[in-house]
Amino acid sequence: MAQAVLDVLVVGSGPGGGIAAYSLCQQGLQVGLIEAGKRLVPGRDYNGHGSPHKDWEKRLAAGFKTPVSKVTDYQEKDHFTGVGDNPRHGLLKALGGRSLCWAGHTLRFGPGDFAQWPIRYEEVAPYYARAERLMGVSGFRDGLWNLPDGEFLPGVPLRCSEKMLGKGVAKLRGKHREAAFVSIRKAIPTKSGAVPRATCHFCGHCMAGCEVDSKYTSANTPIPMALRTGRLSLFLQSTVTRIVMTNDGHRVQGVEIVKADGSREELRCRALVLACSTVETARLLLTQNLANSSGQVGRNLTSHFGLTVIGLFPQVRGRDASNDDGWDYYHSLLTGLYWKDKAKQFEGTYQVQCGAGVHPKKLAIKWAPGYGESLKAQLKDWNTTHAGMNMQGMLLISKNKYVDLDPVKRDANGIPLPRIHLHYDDSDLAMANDVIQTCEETIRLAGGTVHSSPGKATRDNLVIDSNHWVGTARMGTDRRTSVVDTECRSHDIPNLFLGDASVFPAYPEKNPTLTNIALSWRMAEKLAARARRGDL
Amino acid sequence: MLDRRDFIALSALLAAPAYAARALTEAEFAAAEEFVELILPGAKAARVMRYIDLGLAHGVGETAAWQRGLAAWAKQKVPMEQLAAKELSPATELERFFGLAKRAAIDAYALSDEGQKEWLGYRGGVHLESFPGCTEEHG
Ligand SMILES: Cc1cc2nc3c(=O)[nH]c(=O)nc-3n(C[C@H](O)[C@H](O)[C@H](O)COP(=O)(O)OP(=O)(O)OC[C@H]3O[C@@H](n4cnc5c(N)ncnc54)[C@H](O)[C@@H]3O)c2cc1C
Ligand code: SF4
Repeated sequence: MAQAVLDVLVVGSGPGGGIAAYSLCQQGLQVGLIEAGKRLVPGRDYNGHGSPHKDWEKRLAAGFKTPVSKVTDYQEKDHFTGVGDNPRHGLLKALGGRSLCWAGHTLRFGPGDFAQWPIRYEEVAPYYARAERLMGVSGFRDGLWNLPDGEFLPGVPLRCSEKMLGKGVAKLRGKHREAAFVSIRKAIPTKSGAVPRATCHFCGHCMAGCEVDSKYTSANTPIPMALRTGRLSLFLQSTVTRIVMTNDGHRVQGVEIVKADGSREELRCRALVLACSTVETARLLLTQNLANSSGQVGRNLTSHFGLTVIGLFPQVRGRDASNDDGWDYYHSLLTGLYWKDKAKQFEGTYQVQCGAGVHPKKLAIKWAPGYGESLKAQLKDWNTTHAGMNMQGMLLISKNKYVDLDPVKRDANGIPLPRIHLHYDDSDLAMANDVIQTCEETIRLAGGTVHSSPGKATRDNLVIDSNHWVGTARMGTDRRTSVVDTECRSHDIPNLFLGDASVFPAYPEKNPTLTNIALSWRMAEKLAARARRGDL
Repeated sequence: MLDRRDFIALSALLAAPAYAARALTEAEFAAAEEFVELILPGAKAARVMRYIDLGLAHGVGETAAWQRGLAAWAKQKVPMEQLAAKELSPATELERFFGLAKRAAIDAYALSDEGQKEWLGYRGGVHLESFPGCTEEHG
């Protein structure tokens, strides 16, 4: 039976697709949201609070290989091919996508970051503000020009060793380094009544999935809001395998989905929004070589990459270490590095996410020499006094990083797997070496000692952030060098829009999701305005 | 007053539930408990080997490596100082096993209620109205 034609079909229900669906419904359009995964229920399908020893047997029997019940257990496996320096790629197929397991770090890109974009900070700022209100973002107002303050609920204070790092950073500034040390900002409400979700109770399991749904997810906020408009049709466990074009090949007519029982169906729409996430969106377009007259689909791929340096602070020895849970490990951020200072051996900037304290479910320091009571005492002391510094550097955009299709391997639906090519450039290594020096110096300036450090960055010890990929369909004003225009609309196909971070034309050191949401919201408004004008 | 039958029933109720080893044999399990207790005192009371054995039975870790290590330990009870000294450059089966058992035991012990409370002094995993952060001043 022929399906009714919906105004817009949105593919992917993560942060990008969820906000697009909500905004389009709110503006009166009939929307279909298509999601490959099913709905996971917090507290039932994942439950980070449980005692691992007690739950272990049940979980093993159910096929899980980790003792703590984490939403990350549901992430896909064998879903891509990696080429080069150990690329990794996170994908969670579920209503809400990876917002179910994100840490919630919510940072605006600053005016300096938008210098390389075809749109300015001022254009995105109102969407940032709206997104922050909807998401319930908590943080302190720090007054930093390139990490703008937002509309915050009360921030969360630091743990003891993180405060020590702050002292080190103050001394770094005394040595004329451009640097700031701030509390992290998260899309997690710290005050009741601000958003219609539970207030955080500081159990520290955010990335295992928030079982009380306090943390913002696409599944607990925009999608229910879209459903309440009565204009959203939800297609769960439905995977888009093909974009159906009009006979002349100029416009999207709909999509083909494969349902859980293997049956196929065609859905019709006036406009299509792809928000499958950076790698998957590129994969879908490349499969049919759509929207690719520029040859740029899959190119300009970037992410964050990093390494970890750990410091010990004897000053905090003997402190009360009874509850360091907080809102997951990272509470603080070393930022502001190289925003203006150009005296460096590499391109771009980095930030360092910092955490501290005793977290038994994921001990930061899991090894000490020896055995017996002295081993136990050493491990306890190190974990109690440590602070971990995790680099988040912007990966240089170059011809050495891109997505294409695996010529051989296919998924269960017969679609080629995406192939991620990652070869670190010399600039990436130079940045990582700078990070190592900066972290070690900060620890020493704070009166601490370096517990562990890579010492020197190599292509083998750098770790790519598997969840921060952006940029395979970049935004630009020149259709010869970019895939979408400044409204995130395909240059080639007038009723095709992108709602994920694939459109980022450049990437700062900051976490991607708030900007992804702000841009997708903006895209949805522009799309709806076109629909109202009859200009789709 | 409890009669004898009641007393037996109550004792059975109070006793820790018996665990039948699944990946290792009963003898291997007992030897592993003894070995791990020497590495991490308190591990036995925290039922660390039960946890490790369950994992092994479901493909978390390599049962054969445990069995080889335990066989080597059964042949020669090398003192712990000696094994610990060779941990970073193990040459024998038993030296390798020391590192393997130690890593698994640390993980399992930290995940147990006993390890969290008695070893690490952790009192978290509770509902807080607000997170106090560090309330002490340090140099
Ligand atoms: C552990 C972890 C911690 C993180 N922490 C942070 C953080 O602190 N701050 C931050 O900014 N970011 C963080 N991230 C990254 C963040 O989760 C992603 O940036 C964000 O989820 C991307 O949103 P998206 O909508 O583009 O994609 P996703 O969230 O990946 O959603 C895409 C959805 O599309 C669906 N889909 C894909 N292809 C198809 C298809 N063909 N048909 C139908 N459906 C399809 C998928 O099933 C999925 O549900 C973290 C991620 C993880 C995993
Ligand atoms: S710390 Fe707060 S947001 Fe994170 S999982 Fe716990 S209750 Fe949820």
